[in-house]
Amino acid sequence: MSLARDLLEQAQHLSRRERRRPRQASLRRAISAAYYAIFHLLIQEATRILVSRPELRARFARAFDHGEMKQTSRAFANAQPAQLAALTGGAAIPSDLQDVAAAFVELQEARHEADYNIDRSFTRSESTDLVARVAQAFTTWQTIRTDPVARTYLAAL
Amino acid sequence: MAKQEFIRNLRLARNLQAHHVSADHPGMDKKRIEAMLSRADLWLTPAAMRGFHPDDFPELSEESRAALDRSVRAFRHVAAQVPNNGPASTKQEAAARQEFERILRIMEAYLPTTEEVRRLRAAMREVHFPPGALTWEFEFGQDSSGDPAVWIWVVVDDAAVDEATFANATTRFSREIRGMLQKVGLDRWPYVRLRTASEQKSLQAIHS
Repeated sequence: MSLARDLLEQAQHLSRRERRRPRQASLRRAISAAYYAIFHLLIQEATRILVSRPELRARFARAFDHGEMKQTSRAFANAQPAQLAALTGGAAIPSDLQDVAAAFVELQEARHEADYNIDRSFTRSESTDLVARVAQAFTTWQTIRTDPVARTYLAAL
Repeated sequence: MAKQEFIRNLRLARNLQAHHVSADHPGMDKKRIEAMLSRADLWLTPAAMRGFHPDDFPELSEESRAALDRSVRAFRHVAAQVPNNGPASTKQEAAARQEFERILRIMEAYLPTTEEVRRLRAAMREVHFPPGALTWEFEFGQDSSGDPAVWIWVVVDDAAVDEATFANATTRFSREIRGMLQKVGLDRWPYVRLRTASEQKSLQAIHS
């Protein structure tokens, strides 16, 4: 199993712990793990298409920047982003790809809140919904990963 | 929540500073009333900064957070010197206004204009929520990237929350919300979150 899948499974486990009174620590770590699950999924996919030599992929993966990935994902979460016209040749972004990109943006912000904002209280449904959105993004990704626009997204990350 | 208390107080002070008097009688001198309200400096009070704590804004850059903290302290210092039974001196008013304007600039993303709220409501009216979604609430702010954002809390019936099916619905209506906000020209990223009615009630009880 890949690191991305392991992290997703860990997020699901943490979000379901303590059936009656979930601890904030479990809910926060679930969100954080879910973010890193989608982060590693996209990096794994991007390095696979961009780097032909497998032994160099881990080193290349270090070059990805969270902030830049978020900005790129924000653009790809729109149906017809003007700023990407040159990259996509004006093609519309498939709605499935928009959803994956939006899940990345949503989870990165949620992770920031979960890890740094102690004033916030997370609830079970908020946490499980965020984790489930990542699980859904994993499934959706499998259906669009060979789409040329999805490959452009990976290259732009 | 102290953060929300501070934002509410700041918004109120901002509204008290910018007077737009409307009168239903032609004999009323709106300009004169506005000038009187302005002289009263209703915004220049320590209460305008009540609830502020710099740690409540981890999403702001270190520089912005430090500048906000400095200006709030300076504002409080001046406000504490204004007599309870008289107006602020010209010097006090000028010093406080300078700090207040700095605070408003840093906090701009957290203080939506009436027009922004109107556009958000118009956009949300067009969104197709699934059965079980009871209501929604919002909070304007700045996200961790420094961009203006809006957090939308969709409150759902406890019985309606089923992890697998509701995630599909959340993904779909989040996409719809993004599209509608673009359509109405509201340039804020919507962070869409879920809460059950009972969770919402518990959170309100904790923070009340």
